[in-house]
Amino acid sequence: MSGKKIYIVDDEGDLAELLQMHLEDMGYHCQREVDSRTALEQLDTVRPDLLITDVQMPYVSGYALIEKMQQISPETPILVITGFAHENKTAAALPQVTTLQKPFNLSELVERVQSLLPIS
Amino acid sequence: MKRKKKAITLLKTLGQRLLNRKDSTLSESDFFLETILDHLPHMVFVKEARDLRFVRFNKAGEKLLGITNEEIIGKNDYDLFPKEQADAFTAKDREVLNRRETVVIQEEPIQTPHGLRYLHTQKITITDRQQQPLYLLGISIDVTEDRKNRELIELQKEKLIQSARLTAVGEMASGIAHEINNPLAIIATACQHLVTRQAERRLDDAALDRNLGIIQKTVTRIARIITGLRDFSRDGEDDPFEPVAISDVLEATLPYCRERFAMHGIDFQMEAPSEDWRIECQVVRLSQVILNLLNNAFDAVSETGRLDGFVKLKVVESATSYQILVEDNGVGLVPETETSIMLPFFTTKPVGKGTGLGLSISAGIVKDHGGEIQFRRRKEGTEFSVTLPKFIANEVAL
Repeated sequence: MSGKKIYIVDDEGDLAELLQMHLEDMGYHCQREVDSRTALEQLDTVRPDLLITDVQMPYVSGYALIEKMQQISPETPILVITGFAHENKTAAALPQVTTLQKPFNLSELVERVQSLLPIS
Repeated sequence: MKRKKKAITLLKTLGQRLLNRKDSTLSESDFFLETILDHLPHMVFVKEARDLRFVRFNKAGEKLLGITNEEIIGKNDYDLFPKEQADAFTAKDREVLNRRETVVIQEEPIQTPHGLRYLHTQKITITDRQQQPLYLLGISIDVTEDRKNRELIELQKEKLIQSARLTAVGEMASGIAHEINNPLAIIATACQHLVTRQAERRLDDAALDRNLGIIQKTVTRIARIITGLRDFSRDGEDDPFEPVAISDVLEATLPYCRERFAMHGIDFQMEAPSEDWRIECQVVRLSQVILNLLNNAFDAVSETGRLDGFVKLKVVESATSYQILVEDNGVGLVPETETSIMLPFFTTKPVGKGTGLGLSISAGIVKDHGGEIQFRRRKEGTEFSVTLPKFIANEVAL
């Protein structure tokens, strides 16, 4: 196992769980969070090698998480998954951020993840 | 006695003269009267009280009924109209004469050479000094065109109401697209995960159960949104009033606006009311009212273009009622428009954007619920409130 850690933050709990299942199958170590407030607090402790986050979430938006991530670890790649086309654009302009629009094909997500965080 | 006799003789003579209009023995005053009547744009006729024979008939009447003066004078309704219609006219005439008063017939149909026309007619009794009816004076205004216009306006109103509903549905559509995209993404992901595992021959029961469970749950979620949409686009006017939790009414609107607020960066805050707060209502219609207020708030905030725009939805309780409050920090109301905003077709929105029907329809629905819509200006923006009586179950009331 590579021991590479992915933090998945999405208020759609089922989606986060499915992504975790799939990415763990691939050999990643995953942690997921549905509450963006908790995610913001935990980010420093979790210290992921890749952050996968939604943008529109209750309480704390994905942007706040991106900002925090970049403060903690500017080199950590971030994959933004959102249903909103305009937010895809806004987020894609940020450093280290790659975007994927929902609903996405799981194989697309896998490709992105693999290129951002290669196993081995 | 002598005077009365004299008066009657005089009137009889006058009546006779009127009957023989063509004998060109009209006095100056008769001629004067005749000229005035002929210049009136409305049909004027005079019938003598005994046999209800026509003694006067002006030019407008000739034109309307297509009957000349020569043809009509000295005749009664039975000589001119089908029996049924003559019966009706005569009965009305008799009633007027017996009661010695003026009767207004709002609209009566009559066959004319120009087709069926509708007349607004006043029938007036002309009596002698002893209050004995001598003549029946009729003045008829052709209201056929008014009637047509009225029907047209009614039809257009209905169309506008329909289009207002469609506009609301259109506004909801973009929100719904996102509301459905999310669960679709979940289903797609679950399926692809299963396919991948199966391809790698690693599909165990636990993974299968979990993924199928998620798919099933998510399909139900989409179905609920679709059902809600179907509910929303219908009238709901004949739905029964049922006791429901206010929170359910508010929740029903969320799929159609939450995403829209989010998409436009408007902060939407809802304070969920207690589940015990119940009202008796038609859920669909009341939800439409709430959605209408939320959409108005959305428009008001959008118009400002501000980045800190918000819309708040909450419920407060008073002794006998609940108040659903929709507050925004949008453009707000100006005093001049405050008196008009509840009126049908009044709108401050740009042309093509608002129909001006939302609030008036909403006010009607809330009134049907024994409640009322009010609003007040805030320091910034507006707060609308829908006050509804509390539902108290019988056993609790005892």
